[in-house]
Amino acid sequence: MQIVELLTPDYEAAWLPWAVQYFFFIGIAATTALTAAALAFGKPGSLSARLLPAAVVVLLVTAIAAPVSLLADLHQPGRFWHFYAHFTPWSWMSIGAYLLPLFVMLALGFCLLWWLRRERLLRLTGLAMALLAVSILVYTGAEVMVVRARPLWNTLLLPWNFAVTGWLAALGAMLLVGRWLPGGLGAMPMELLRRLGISALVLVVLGVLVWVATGSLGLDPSFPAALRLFEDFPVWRLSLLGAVLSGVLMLVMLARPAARLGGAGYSLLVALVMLGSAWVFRWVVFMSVQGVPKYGAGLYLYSMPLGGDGLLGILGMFGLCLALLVAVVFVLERFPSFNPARAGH
Amino acid sequence: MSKSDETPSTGRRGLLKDLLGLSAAATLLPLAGAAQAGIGDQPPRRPGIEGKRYGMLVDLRKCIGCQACTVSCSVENLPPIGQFRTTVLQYEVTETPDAPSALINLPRLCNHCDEPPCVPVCPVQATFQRTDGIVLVDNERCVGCGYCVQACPYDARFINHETQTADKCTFCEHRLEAGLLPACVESCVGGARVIGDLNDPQSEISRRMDAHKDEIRVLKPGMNTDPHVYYIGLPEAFVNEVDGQAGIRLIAKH
Repeated sequence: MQIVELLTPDYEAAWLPWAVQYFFFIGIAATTALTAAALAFGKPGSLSARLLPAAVVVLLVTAIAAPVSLLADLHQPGRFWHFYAHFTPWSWMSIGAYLLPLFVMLALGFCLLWWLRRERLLRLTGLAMALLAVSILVYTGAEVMVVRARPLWNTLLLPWNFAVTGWLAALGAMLLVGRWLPGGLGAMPMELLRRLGISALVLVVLGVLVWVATGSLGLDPSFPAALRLFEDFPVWRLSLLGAVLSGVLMLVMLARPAARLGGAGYSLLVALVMLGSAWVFRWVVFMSVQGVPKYGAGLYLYSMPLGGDGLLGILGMFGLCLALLVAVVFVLERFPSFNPARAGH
Repeated sequence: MSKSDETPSTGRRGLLKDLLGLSAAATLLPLAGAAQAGIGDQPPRRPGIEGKRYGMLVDLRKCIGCQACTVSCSVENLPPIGQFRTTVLQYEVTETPDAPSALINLPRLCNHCDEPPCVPVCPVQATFQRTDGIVLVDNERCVGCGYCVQACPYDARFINHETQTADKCTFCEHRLEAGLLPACVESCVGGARVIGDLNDPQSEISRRMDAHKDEIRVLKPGMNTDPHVYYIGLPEAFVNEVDGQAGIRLIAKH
């Protein structure tokens, strides 16, 4: 039987590129929080302590940027208070609306305590923040995972992949911002960063392998759904190829000696690839998957608007991050709470 | 009161029972429901037209694809240009290479499911189901998060570009309450759409469904949503998703 669609409407994406930005920044923030909470236990001058400043800066920037993009993804942002007027414990999104401000407040508190060098309190806050960070990873993953109407999202591997690619991006972000902090790239513990990066990459690959295995055994319908897309559509094959290539590229880059990462250009490249892969992964998960019809044939064409709901929104969020970063670096230069030699105090 | 005059004792006892039942239902059940609603569970329904459970039967053999329903729905409910609460999807089907092609017209609307996946995801309880089965959106509470649009397996919901909130077919409940038929049913030239009370075995929809028990299909039964829009004459190939060649799509420019 051959079926040709003659007249079917175009169903638009209900989640805008703002959602990509939110899941990108919140993924970085939550995994950076977990990393920073662990790093806070390092002895002064240790490798962990030397990575902490970059982690704190990344945490501060992304913890502020994430809620902004979440708010913008609402079509009625002025009604955000409805979340607090009508608590709905059976909806992950409502639960998240309560977890997110708590997490952000703890993250900002953590950054402040680090700046004030209140070590004991920092570690305690770090523990509470880590707990909230885990809840953020659970809620953001579950929120998307429970959508049965989209088989590609409806898999346990999605929260996992959000978390581990988020961590990859978080480490990339630390590598990126480290150069602008007092002490520069030279003060960064590159070997530690390299090892963490490889760990994150291994976790990503592990997630993919489990997905392929469970999918092949017929336990996870999201895999055959993806396979069909790869078979039918060149654009999906291209994204598969891109994912594999960027994974291999990152592995090659991180496998090289840590000293290489000290180079300004090279470290910039590695950082951007790590950040970029995690961002593109979210773009595919949200924007490309929303282009897969729930009922109809073919794909929907998504043409990104240039305004706030599209390109300008995406650039605006990166601009916000840049502005925050500049402000933080400025403050740290004027009122340093640490110097590279005694980092972590 | 005429009933209780005939059988006074049972009537009074019945009334007492009803009152007890009613008060229990009014006080305990919603609370118990709310307390027990785990993540993803259906919240308690809100009051609707009492005693009824609305459903729609679409007889595809009678649909000529004239889009009168699409137009009358748009006139009645005024969604923005290019956005539809109901529309008729059209397909060309060729069984074998030599056979002539046939046209399949598939009217689509909200299925007013008994297990609507759009309802429990709503983070502010703006979308809800009534006891008569109708799923509605309170667009003054809706924050426009689009979660329900994602959760609906039937593409029945959309973000209205004018109100910036979730929008969908309401079975024209404002017309039903006034004793009128929904706009799409009223305007259907072939009489393909029948709406009615599924709780009433004598309603036209119940009788027709009974007469065609074996031919009735719903869309995406595997989603376990228990849709309440039923089709007669829906080919097997159209039950889950269309595996075919994509055609021209109406693209809303806004």
